Amino acid sequence: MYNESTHFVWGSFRPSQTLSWSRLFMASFVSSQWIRSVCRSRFSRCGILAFLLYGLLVTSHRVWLPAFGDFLVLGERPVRSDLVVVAAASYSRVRYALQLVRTGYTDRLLIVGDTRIKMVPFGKTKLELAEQEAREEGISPDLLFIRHSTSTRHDARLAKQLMHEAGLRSATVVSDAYNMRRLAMVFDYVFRGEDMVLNYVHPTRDRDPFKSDRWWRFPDRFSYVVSEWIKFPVNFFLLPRGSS
Amino acid sequence: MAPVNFKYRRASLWGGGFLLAAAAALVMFHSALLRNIGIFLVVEETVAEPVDAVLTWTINEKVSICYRAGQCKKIYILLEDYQRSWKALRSFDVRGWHLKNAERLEISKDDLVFINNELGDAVDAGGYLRRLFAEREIRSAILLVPYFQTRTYRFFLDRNENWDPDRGRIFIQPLEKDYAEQFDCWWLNTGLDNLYLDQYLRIGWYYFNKLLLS
Repeated sequence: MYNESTHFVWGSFRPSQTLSWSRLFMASFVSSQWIRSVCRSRFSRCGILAFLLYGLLVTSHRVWLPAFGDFLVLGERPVRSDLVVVAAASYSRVRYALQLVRTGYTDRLLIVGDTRIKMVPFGKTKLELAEQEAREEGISPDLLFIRHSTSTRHDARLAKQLMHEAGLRSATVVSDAYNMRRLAMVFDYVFRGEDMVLNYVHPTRDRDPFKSDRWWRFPDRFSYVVSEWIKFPVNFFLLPRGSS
Repeated sequence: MAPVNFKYRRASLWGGGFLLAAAAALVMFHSALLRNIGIFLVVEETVAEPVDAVLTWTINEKVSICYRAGQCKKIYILLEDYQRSWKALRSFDVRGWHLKNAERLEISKDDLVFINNELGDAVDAGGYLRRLFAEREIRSAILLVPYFQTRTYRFFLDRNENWDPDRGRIFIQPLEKDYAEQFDCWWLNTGLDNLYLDQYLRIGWYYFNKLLLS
């Protein structure tokens, strides 16, 4: 029950008064009484708890927020494989895939991408630009495969289909660091039950430690990480239903 | 006075009914709702009187309409640096391409100004625009950006400390003339999903960092 005698009156302690041990003791006693009186109401208790929790989260955010970015990253070392699969959405991953081909990790390259979105002002798709670059790098047309794709699941299906047709047993999948966890989940699901080995790699420069540890400070990284955290559970629940 | 468990049951029934109605409404009107989520990203600010400049990435019909209607004196073309991009773009004659477009759309070459694009993303645009306005003595301009980025540009321009609205006026408009059809079932197009989500998250980034007091 609320007790009038325990109610704290702010006017009873003034900072202008000379501070002594007895006054300090009195002040702390009265403060504790005030906190107790406030805490008697459930609503106030919840408010105080929420405020404390918020304070804790804000002060410690540099400790726990990097983990949300790190969880998404799944990087393996490149190994020799029959095929490299890459989506043409970003230039850095296509360059990295071409580098893997050039350095002898593989001979065949599958580039997938959406042909519906053309770049302003050139009117070309990224898939077309990637294909052109791969040809200029000297990749033989017999070993270069270009496919239209609209989603990660579509990418995985196209890779599986190609590997079946060409009798390939292993593939290296290249993507951005933050895309890796979801990409691996989708590819592993599509390739389940197949006797094929998949290896997941991302360009090394994606793991810039300065930016990775503070991803929430950069709008592009923030958008990437949060969108992956939105898509990851969505994909997780939709995969068994066959939706892309 | 009603017994406690009866009151609880009545509240549960109301709550359940409300949730069911909300879910049904969501299913029934999801097309309109999602369409409006897409449309919300577009800002098209009306220009009442002629401006000093149009800032654009490309010369298209929209620029031509502005120019021929006498809404602007100069067209500033923001040239991208493609040196770290696709090889095909590195060797592409961007200036020549713009000049050809200008000729086709009957825009005088004398009214074209080529500048390096240091606009960055919407977050940093304010600082660059302030410098540009001061250097070129621009008082008012139309900034043409891809339609889905217009809201984000306006959002960050209104909140950028480097941008002083008293130094000049910026009118943000979509670069494209026909973008309305992009909102028909955009949620079924993964490319558009990603573009629109990215814009909302960039706005969310601002509030998230405010919440973190960082």
